[in-house]
Amino acid sequence: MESGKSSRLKEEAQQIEAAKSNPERFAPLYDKYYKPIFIFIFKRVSDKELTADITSKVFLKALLNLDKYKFQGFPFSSWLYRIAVNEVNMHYRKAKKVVEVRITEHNFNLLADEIEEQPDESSQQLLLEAMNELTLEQSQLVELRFFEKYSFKEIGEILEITEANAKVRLYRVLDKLKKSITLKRSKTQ
Amino acid sequence: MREYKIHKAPVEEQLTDQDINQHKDFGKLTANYDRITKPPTKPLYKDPKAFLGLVLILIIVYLLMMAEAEEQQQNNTNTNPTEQVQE
Repeated sequence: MESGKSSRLKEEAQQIEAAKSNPERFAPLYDKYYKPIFIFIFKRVSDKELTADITSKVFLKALLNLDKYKFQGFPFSSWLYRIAVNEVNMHYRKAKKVVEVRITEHNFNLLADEIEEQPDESSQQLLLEAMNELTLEQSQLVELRFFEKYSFKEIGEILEITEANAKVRLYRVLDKLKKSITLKRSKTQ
Repeated sequence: MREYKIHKAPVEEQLTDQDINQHKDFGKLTANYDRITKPPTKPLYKDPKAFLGLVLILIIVYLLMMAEAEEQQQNNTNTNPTEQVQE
Protein backbone atom coordinates (compact mmCIF):
# COMPACT_ATOMS: atom_id res chain seq x y z
CA MET A 1 0.00 0.00 0.00
CA GLU A 2 2.76 2.41 1.10
CA SER A 3 4.99 1.34 -1.78
CA GLY A 4 2.08 1.90 -4.18
CA LYS A 5 1.71 5.44 -2.84
CA SER A 6 5.42 6.14 -3.07
CA SER A 7 5.59 4.80 -6.63
CA ARG A 8 2.67 7.08 -7.56
CA LEU A 9 4.52 10.03 -6.03
CA LYS A 10 7.67 9.05 -7.91
CA GLU A 11 5.75 8.88 -11.17
CA GLU A 12 4.24 12.27 -10.41
CA ALA A 13 7.68 13.72 -9.70
CA GLN A 14 8.82 12.50 -13.11
CA GLN A 15 5.79 14.09 -14.78
CA ILE A 16 6.60 17.39 -13.05
CA GLU A 17 10.21 17.27 -14.20
CA ALA A 18 9.09 16.53 -17.76
CA ALA A 19 6.61 19.44 -17.65
CA LYS A 20 9.35 21.81 -16.47
CA SER A 21 11.16 21.41 -19.77
CA ASN A 22 8.05 21.09 -21.95
CA PRO A 23 4.71 22.63 -20.84
CA GLU A 24 2.81 20.24 -23.14
CA ARG A 25 3.86 17.44 -20.76
CA PHE A 26 1.81 19.12 -18.01
CA ALA A 27 -1.32 17.52 -19.51
CA PRO A 28 -1.41 14.36 -17.30
CA LEU A 29 -1.18 16.48 -14.13
CA TYR A 30 -3.87 18.83 -15.46
CA ASP A 31 -6.16 15.88 -16.23
CA LYS A 32 -5.56 14.30 -12.84
CA TYR A 33 -6.15 17.37 -10.70
CA TYR A 34 -8.61 19.53 -12.66
CA LYS A 35 -11.70 18.00 -11.07
CA PRO A 36 -10.54 17.99 -7.41
CA ILE A 37 -9.31 21.58 -7.67
CA PHE A 38 -12.56 22.64 -9.37
CA ILE A 39 -14.62 21.07 -6.56
CA PHE A 40 -12.35 22.58 -3.87
CA ILE A 41 -12.88 26.07 -5.32
CA PHE A 42 -16.61 25.55 -5.96
CA LYS A 43 -17.13 24.85 -2.26
CA ARG A 44 -15.76 28.33 -1.56
CA VAL A 45 -17.30 30.43 -4.30
CA SER A 46 -20.57 28.56 -5.10
CA ASP A 47 -20.61 29.82 -8.70
CA LYS A 48 -19.70 27.57 -11.61
CA GLU A 49 -18.41 30.29 -13.96
CA LEU A 50 -16.35 31.96 -11.27
CA THR A 51 -15.02 28.56 -10.20
CA ALA A 52 -13.93 27.83 -13.78
CA ASP A 53 -12.21 31.21 -13.97
CA ILE A 54 -10.30 30.74 -10.70
CA THR A 55 -9.44 27.13 -11.58
CA SER A 56 -7.84 28.22 -14.85
CA LYS A 57 -5.87 30.88 -12.96
CA VAL A 58 -4.64 28.23 -10.52
CA PHE A 59 -3.34 25.97 -13.29
CA LEU A 60 -1.81 28.84 -15.23
CA LYS A 61 0.02 30.02 -12.10
CA ALA A 62 1.15 26.47 -11.41
CA LEU A 63 2.51 26.11 -14.95
CA LEU A 64 4.20 29.51 -14.87
CA ASN A 65 5.88 28.75 -11.54
CA LEU A 66 6.63 25.10 -12.13
CA ASP A 67 10.38 25.83 -12.18
CA LYS A 68 10.17 26.92 -8.54
CA TYR A 69 8.40 23.73 -7.46
CA LYS A 70 10.54 21.29 -5.54
CA PHE A 71 9.31 17.79 -4.92
CA GLN A 72 9.41 17.11 -1.16
CA GLY A 73 7.52 13.85 -0.94
CA PHE A 74 4.02 15.39 -0.98
CA PRO A 75 1.47 14.94 -3.73
CA PHE A 76 1.53 17.70 -6.32
CA SER A 77 -2.06 18.47 -5.29
CA SER A 78 -0.81 20.04 -2.01
CA TRP A 79 0.94 22.72 -4.03
CA LEU A 80 -2.11 23.23 -6.25
CA TYR A 81 -4.37 23.56 -3.19
CA ARG A 82 -2.00 26.15 -1.76
CA ILE A 83 -2.30 28.19 -4.96
CA ALA A 84 -6.10 27.66 -4.95
CA VAL A 85 -6.41 28.85 -1.33
CA ASN A 86 -4.44 32.00 -2.21
CA GLU A 87 -6.45 32.66 -5.38
CA VAL A 88 -9.79 32.29 -3.57
CA ASN A 89 -8.62 34.59 -0.78
CA MET A 90 -7.37 37.12 -3.33
CA HIS A 91 -10.72 37.01 -5.12
CA TYR A 92 -12.63 37.77 -1.94
CA ARG A 93 -10.19 40.48 -0.91
CA LYS A 94 -10.63 42.20 -4.26
CA ALA A 95 -14.41 41.79 -4.25
CA LYS A 96 -14.56 42.81 -0.56
CA LYS A 97 -17.08 40.04 0.03
CA VAL A 98 -17.58 37.50 2.78
CA VAL A 99 -16.35 34.01 1.85
CA GLU A 100 -19.25 31.59 1.79
CA VAL A 101 -18.13 28.02 2.45
CA ARG A 102 -20.42 25.08 1.69
CA ILE A 103 -20.22 22.19 4.11
CA THR A 104 -22.04 18.92 3.84
CA GLU A 105 -24.02 17.85 6.86
CA HIS A 106 -21.85 14.75 7.17
CA ASN A 107 -18.60 16.73 7.37
CA PHE A 108 -20.15 19.24 9.71
CA ASN A 109 -21.20 16.44 12.07
CA LEU A 110 -17.63 15.09 12.04
CA LEU A 111 -16.45 18.44 13.36
CA ALA A 112 -19.29 18.56 15.89
CA ASP A 113 -18.24 15.08 17.06
CA GLU A 114 -14.65 16.21 17.49
CA ILE A 115 -15.63 19.03 19.82
CA GLU A 116 -18.16 16.78 21.57
CA GLU A 117 -21.25 18.59 20.39
CA GLN A 118 -24.59 16.93 19.79
CA PRO A 119 -25.69 17.00 16.13
CA ASP A 120 -28.99 18.68 17.07
CA GLU A 121 -30.21 21.90 15.46
CA SER A 122 -29.41 24.29 18.32
CA SER A 123 -25.86 22.92 18.69
CA GLN A 124 -25.40 23.16 14.93
CA GLN A 125 -26.43 26.79 15.00
CA LEU A 126 -24.05 27.59 17.87
CA LEU A 127 -21.18 25.83 16.14
CA LEU A 128 -21.86 27.70 12.89
CA GLU A 129 -21.87 31.02 14.77
CA ALA A 130 -18.61 30.11 16.49
CA MET A 131 -17.04 29.11 13.16
CA ASN A 132 -18.07 32.38 11.56
CA GLU A 133 -15.99 34.16 14.20
CA LEU A 134 -12.76 32.36 13.30
CA THR A 135 -9.93 34.16 11.56
CA LEU A 136 -9.02 33.24 8.00
CA GLU A 137 -6.05 31.14 9.07
CA GLN A 138 -8.09 29.29 11.73
CA SER A 139 -10.93 28.60 9.27
CA GLN A 140 -8.51 27.20 6.71
CA LEU A 141 -7.13 24.74 9.27
CA VAL A 142 -10.61 23.46 10.13
CA GLU A 143 -11.64 23.26 6.49
CA LEU A 144 -8.57 21.35 5.35
CA ARG A 145 -8.74 18.89 8.22
CA PHE A 146 -12.47 18.21 8.56
CA PHE A 147 -13.96 19.11 5.19
CA GLU A 148 -11.12 18.17 2.84
CA LYS A 149 -9.87 15.30 5.07
CA TYR A 150 -6.18 16.16 4.78
CA SER A 151 -3.48 14.73 6.99
CA PHE A 152 -1.56 17.11 9.24
CA LYS A 153 1.48 16.57 7.05
CA GLU A 154 -0.43 17.73 3.97
CA ILE A 155 -2.01 20.65 5.82
CA GLY A 156 1.47 21.73 6.87
CA GLU A 157 2.59 21.59 3.25
CA ILE A 158 -0.41 23.59 1.99
CA LEU A 159 -0.20 26.28 4.67
CA GLU A 160 3.62 26.30 4.71
CA ILE A 161 3.93 25.33 8.37
CA THR A 162 5.32 22.22 10.04
CA GLU A 163 3.21 19.14 10.67
CA ALA A 164 3.51 19.59 14.46
CA ASN A 165 2.57 23.23 14.15
CA ALA A 166 -0.51 22.36 12.11
CA LYS A 167 -1.57 19.94 14.83
CA VAL A 168 -1.02 22.40 17.67
CA ARG A 169 -2.80 25.21 15.85
CA LEU A 170 -5.79 23.05 14.94
CA TYR A 171 -6.28 21.86 18.52
CA ARG A 172 -6.14 25.49 19.67
CA VAL A 173 -8.86 26.33 17.18
CA LEU A 174 -11.02 23.42 18.35
CA ASP A 175 -10.53 24.60 21.92
CA LYS A 176 -11.56 28.11 20.89
CA LEU A 177 -14.70 26.71 19.25
CA LYS A 178 -15.60 24.74 22.39
CA LYS A 179 -15.19 27.79 24.63
CA SER A 180 -17.10 30.01 22.25
CA ILE A 181 -20.03 27.56 22.15
CA THR A 182 -20.08 27.24 25.94
CA LEU A 183 -20.14 31.02 26.28
CA LYS A 184 -22.93 31.40 23.73
CA ARG A 185 -24.96 28.65 25.41
CA SER A 186 -24.59 30.24 28.85
CA LYS A 187 -25.77 33.56 27.42
CA THR A 188 -28.90 32.06 25.92
CA GLN A 189 -29.84 30.11 29.05
CA MET B 1 -14.36 36.74 7.31
CA ARG B 2 -16.15 33.53 6.39
CA GLU B 3 -19.75 32.44 6.46
CA TYR B 4 -20.43 28.72 6.67
CA LYS B 5 -23.54 27.15 5.21
CA ILE B 6 -24.61 23.56 5.60
CA HIS B 7 -25.83 21.76 2.51
CA LYS B 8 -27.62 18.45 2.83
CA ALA B 9 -26.31 17.17 -0.52
CA PRO B 10 -22.59 16.72 -1.10
CA VAL B 11 -21.01 19.23 -3.47
CA GLU B 12 -20.42 16.43 -5.98
CA GLU B 13 -24.20 16.12 -6.32
CA GLN B 14 -24.61 19.83 -7.06
CA LEU B 15 -21.92 19.68 -9.69
CA THR B 16 -22.02 17.22 -12.58
CA ASP B 17 -19.00 15.95 -14.47
CA GLN B 18 -20.34 17.83 -17.47
CA ASP B 19 -20.31 21.10 -15.49
CA ILE B 20 -16.65 20.54 -14.72
CA ASN B 21 -15.48 19.14 -18.04
CA GLN B 22 -17.03 21.88 -20.17
CA HIS B 23 -14.47 24.29 -18.72
CA LYS B 24 -11.54 21.88 -18.90
CA ASP B 25 -9.33 23.00 -21.79
CA PHE B 26 -5.65 22.18 -21.77
CA GLY B 27 -5.15 23.89 -25.15
CA LYS B 28 -6.39 27.18 -23.70
CA LEU B 29 -4.06 26.79 -20.74
CA THR B 30 -0.97 26.28 -22.92
CA ALA B 31 -2.06 29.12 -25.24
CA ASN B 32 -2.30 31.46 -22.24
CA TYR B 33 1.06 30.19 -21.03
CA ASP B 34 2.63 30.89 -24.46
CA ARG B 35 1.05 34.33 -24.64
CA ILE B 36 2.66 35.26 -21.31
CA THR B 37 6.03 33.61 -21.70
CA LYS B 38 6.85 33.82 -25.40
CA PRO B 39 7.50 37.08 -27.29
CA PRO B 40 5.45 37.66 -30.46
CA THR B 41 6.86 35.37 -33.15
CA LYS B 42 7.28 38.10 -35.85
CA PRO B 43 8.85 41.45 -35.22
CA LEU B 44 6.49 44.30 -36.09
CA TYR B 45 8.41 45.40 -39.19
CA LYS B 46 8.31 41.86 -40.65
CA ASP B 47 4.52 41.54 -40.38
CA PRO B 48 3.08 43.06 -43.63
CA LYS B 49 -0.20 44.22 -42.02
CA ALA B 50 1.51 45.73 -38.99
CA PHE B 51 4.13 47.31 -41.22
CA LEU B 52 1.48 48.90 -43.45
CA GLY B 53 -0.31 50.20 -40.37
CA LEU B 54 2.90 51.66 -39.05
CA VAL B 55 3.63 53.40 -42.37
CA LEU B 56 0.07 54.80 -42.45
CA ILE B 57 0.44 56.16 -38.90
CA LEU B 58 3.75 57.78 -39.83
CA ILE B 59 2.23 59.39 -42.95
CA ILE B 60 -0.70 60.76 -40.94
CA VAL B 61 1.64 62.16 -38.27
CA TYR B 62 3.81 63.73 -40.99
CA LEU B 63 0.80 65.32 -42.73
CA LEU B 64 -0.54 66.67 -39.42
CA MET B 65 2.86 68.17 -38.61
CA MET B 66 3.08 69.73 -42.04
CA ALA B 67 -0.44 71.18 -41.77
CA GLU B 68 0.36 72.61 -38.36
CA ALA B 69 3.62 74.14 -39.58
CA GLU B 70 1.84 75.69 -42.54
CA GLU B 71 -0.88 77.09 -40.30
CA GLN B 72 1.71 78.58 -37.99
CA GLN B 73 3.51 80.18 -40.90
CA GLN B 74 0.26 81.70 -42.14
CA ASN B 75 -0.49 83.05 -38.64
CA ASN B 76 2.94 84.65 -38.49
CA THR B 77 2.45 86.47 -41.78
CA ASN B 78 -1.00 87.67 -40.66
CA THR B 79 0.14 88.99 -37.27
CA ASN B 80 3.30 90.79 -38.52
CA PRO B 81 2.18 92.77 -41.56
CA THR B 82 4.48 95.70 -40.61
CA GLU B 83 7.57 93.58 -40.92
CA GLN B 84 6.56 92.78 -44.47
CA VAL B 85 5.94 96.43 -45.24
CA GLN B 86 9.37 97.43 -43.89
CA GLU B 87 11.07 94.87 -46.08
